[in-house]
Amino acid sequence: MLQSAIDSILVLAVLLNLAMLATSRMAACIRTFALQSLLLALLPIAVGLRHETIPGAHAFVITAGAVGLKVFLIPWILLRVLRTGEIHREIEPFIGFTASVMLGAVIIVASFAFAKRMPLPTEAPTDLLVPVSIATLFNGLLMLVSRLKAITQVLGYLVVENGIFVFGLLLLEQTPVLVELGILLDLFVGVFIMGIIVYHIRREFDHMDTHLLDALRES
Amino acid sequence: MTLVLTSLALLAIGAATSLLLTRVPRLALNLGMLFAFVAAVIAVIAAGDVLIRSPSQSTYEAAWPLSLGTARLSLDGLSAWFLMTIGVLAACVSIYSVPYMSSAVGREPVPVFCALFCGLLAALILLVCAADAVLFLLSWEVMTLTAFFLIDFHHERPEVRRGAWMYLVATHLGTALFVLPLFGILFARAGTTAFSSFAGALGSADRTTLMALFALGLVGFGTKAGFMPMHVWLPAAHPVAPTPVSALLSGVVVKTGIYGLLRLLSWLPPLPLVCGEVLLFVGVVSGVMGVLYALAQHDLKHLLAYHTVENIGIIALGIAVGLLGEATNEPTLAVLGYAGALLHVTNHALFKGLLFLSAGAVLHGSGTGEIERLGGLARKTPANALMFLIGAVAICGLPPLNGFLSEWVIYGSLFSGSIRGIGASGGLPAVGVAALALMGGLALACFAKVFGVVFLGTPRETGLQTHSIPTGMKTAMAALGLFCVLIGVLPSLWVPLVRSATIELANVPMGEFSTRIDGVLAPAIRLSGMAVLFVLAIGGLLVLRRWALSRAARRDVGVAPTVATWGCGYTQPTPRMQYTASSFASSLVTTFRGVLWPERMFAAPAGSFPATAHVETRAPDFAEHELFEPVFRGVARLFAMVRTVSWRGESESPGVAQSAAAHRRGPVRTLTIGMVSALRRGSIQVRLLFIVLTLVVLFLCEALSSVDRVHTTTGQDYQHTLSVGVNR
Repeated sequence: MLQSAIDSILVLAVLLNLAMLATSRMAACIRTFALQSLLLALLPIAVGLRHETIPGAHAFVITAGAVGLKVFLIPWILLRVLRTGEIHREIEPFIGFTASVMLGAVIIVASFAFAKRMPLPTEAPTDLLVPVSIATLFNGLLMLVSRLKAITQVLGYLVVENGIFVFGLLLLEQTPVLVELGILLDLFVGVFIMGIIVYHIRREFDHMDTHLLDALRES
Repeated sequence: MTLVLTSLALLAIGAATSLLLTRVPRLALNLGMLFAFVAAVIAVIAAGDVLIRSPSQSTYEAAWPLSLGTARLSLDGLSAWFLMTIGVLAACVSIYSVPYMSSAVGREPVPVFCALFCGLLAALILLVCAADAVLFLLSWEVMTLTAFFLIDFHHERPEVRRGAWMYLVATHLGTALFVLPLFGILFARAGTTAFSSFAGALGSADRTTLMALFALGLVGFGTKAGFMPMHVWLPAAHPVAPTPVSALLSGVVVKTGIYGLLRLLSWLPPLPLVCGEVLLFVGVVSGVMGVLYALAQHDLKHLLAYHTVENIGIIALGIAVGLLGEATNEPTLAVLGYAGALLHVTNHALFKGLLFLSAGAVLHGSGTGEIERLGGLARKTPANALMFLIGAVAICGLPPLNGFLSEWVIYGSLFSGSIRGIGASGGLPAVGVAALALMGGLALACFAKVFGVVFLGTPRETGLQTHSIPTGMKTAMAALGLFCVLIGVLPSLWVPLVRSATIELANVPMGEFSTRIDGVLAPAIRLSGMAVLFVLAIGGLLVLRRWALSRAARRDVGVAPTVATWGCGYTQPTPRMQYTASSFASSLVTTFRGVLWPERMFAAPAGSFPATAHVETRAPDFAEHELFEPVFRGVARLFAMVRTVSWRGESESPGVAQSAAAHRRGPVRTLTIGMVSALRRGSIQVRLLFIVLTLVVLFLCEALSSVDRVHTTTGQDYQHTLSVGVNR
């Protein structure tokens, strides 16, 4: 029962990756990210429940932190930037949406193939965990590479972090809670600063396509 | 065995007679082809005898006049299957050649053609019956050379010389660099050149040796067969050869590569799983890329040549599943895979032979094979249109014709591989199924294009004359068409013939064959039956329509006017308004431009009264221009350093290296230039891309290096548990 719940969360997370690659509206993309983060934030508790009847405070703290940051605060900041920054609301990809989804699917297959061969320090709670984390990581990297705007790149970084978060479940017991919270804090500060930068880029240059930032290079 | 020897003797007599009768070329043609026909029929009888009355291994041995050991000939199931394919196709082609070549009598050395034809046939028969490495290699070489001279028959045209040279260079490189070392290793291990001793000598070979032998065979025999990167000679040589030779090349000469590979596999013990996976990948690439390139062609025989690459890919899929089945000890997979591949070998020879002969009839009648210039041939040569249609339906794998049958068996093998989780936990066979489906769909699009443009519509060029087709050519095509239909409609008579060959390859007991294959075949037979009913119903409706129309005409009732095909609703269409082959295929070619890299030269009409507009599309072969051309140019440059003598006109000398498109910006160059310039401009995304690529490479290294580690740890664990068990 619990096992199948964990598995379905992971499968949903992978599908949401593809959904993010396929959406053309930025706001919808940010909300999809929030949904994925919410699902993944439930995982520490679920994995904890598998081991003992009542999961430790550790898992609850991480879940609360992740929900607070990645489900509410960061999407709120991004949506606010989207509103106040008067950004053109459509994602402009380098690689077309269909092609990105295809690539995403290839990445998922490849990560399943790779995960089988990866030497792991501890045993994974479920067979899906490692492939899903690698797939999420690389899908985030794909978003980083293939999307044009600064704000979608922020989103890409966040998806990469989600992948790392899933991988971190392997080491749930070993990692001190302080380190986890530190990672979350880093993420928050990063997004906060990026939000401010994006806002200022728009104020200074009236657009925020990163490929037009080339004009800033030293020559 | 005596029958095979008789047929060889007849061929020798045929070759000698036609050379002796050089002064009376017409007689030489008739006699030479008669001998070839009789010899081919005798070969079919010999093969059929072995296939029906299961093998009574008969061998024939003779001492070489030179010190090469003994020449051994033997006929087992595998040889007999290929011998039958060769015989059936060669018999039809020799009937066809008489009227086809008689128009060249007096202008070209027809008796030499006959002699070479008999020589090629003899070499083919000898090749598949050889049971000795020396004899095998000798007949392999004779086959290569006779085929080269036959391709080069119209040698006054430069593109013919180029195609023939490419064939010679490609196949000799494959032989010298891969096939000879292969037999060298086999000889070194077995100590004799007899085929029968190879299997025993390889029983104890380690994994590395087996993989090396497989790789040598794959590349060496694959060059002859036309697996994807080594296929470059096929589209160059097939179209320029005289039509009977094209049919033989595509139908059987290419198949000798498959025969070589299968013969090698019959000696090897079950190979590691990775060999089957590699072959499956090769099959998928050859199949999909072959049909895509075919879609972008404008020349009838070029297009058919690329379809040969596609079908070789399908055969490779079957063999790959057979290998996977052997590696995992799954007799169902092995039987289905090998049987599907072998059936497709013969079926492809039949329908591709039919298509080439039919294309040759178009060429013979209209004088051109350019699809864009032809049109409306169905009204002028209805028999040929019907034959081409039969071949096209068969090659698309539609019921009730023979292509459907073998593709169905290969589908079945891939599905059962996928269900059993073999080959990357069933993923690779699943990819194979998807690729096979894609190939079928694209082949259908391609032949809809060819048939629609060449045979339907109205003639696109008024200047093209159309001769009627001689009876001899029609007979040969009708025979091949009849085989295609009969095999498709009555598979239960046909499929048991492949039993002994499959069993030799799959290493399963005799009774296994029918139990494994019947379950897969039953739905195919039902589907074929339904398709026959469907075709009959359509035929009935057509007859009814004709009857109604004639009645209406008799009663003088107003009948809707007939308009031109491809008229697109215009009441006064001209032939130039018709769909062209390029425009028909354009949407698909554009969809796949990422893999095809078609070139497009476009001069748009300008101004209010545009005088000229021009569009030209080509799909240059990736492997030829991006893979072999740089290599050969590098080799040429290397040799230019040591060469002191040069001769006039050397820049025009044929071959891969000096092809015209030297300054073309192909996909590789475009990508490299794009990458470098993007990096120089310093786009954030490109820098990120490089980081990601580095990461991917690191991941891959880790994945590959960890394989061994995983293996060793499990081994230790196993030993550990063992010792614990013993201690208890």
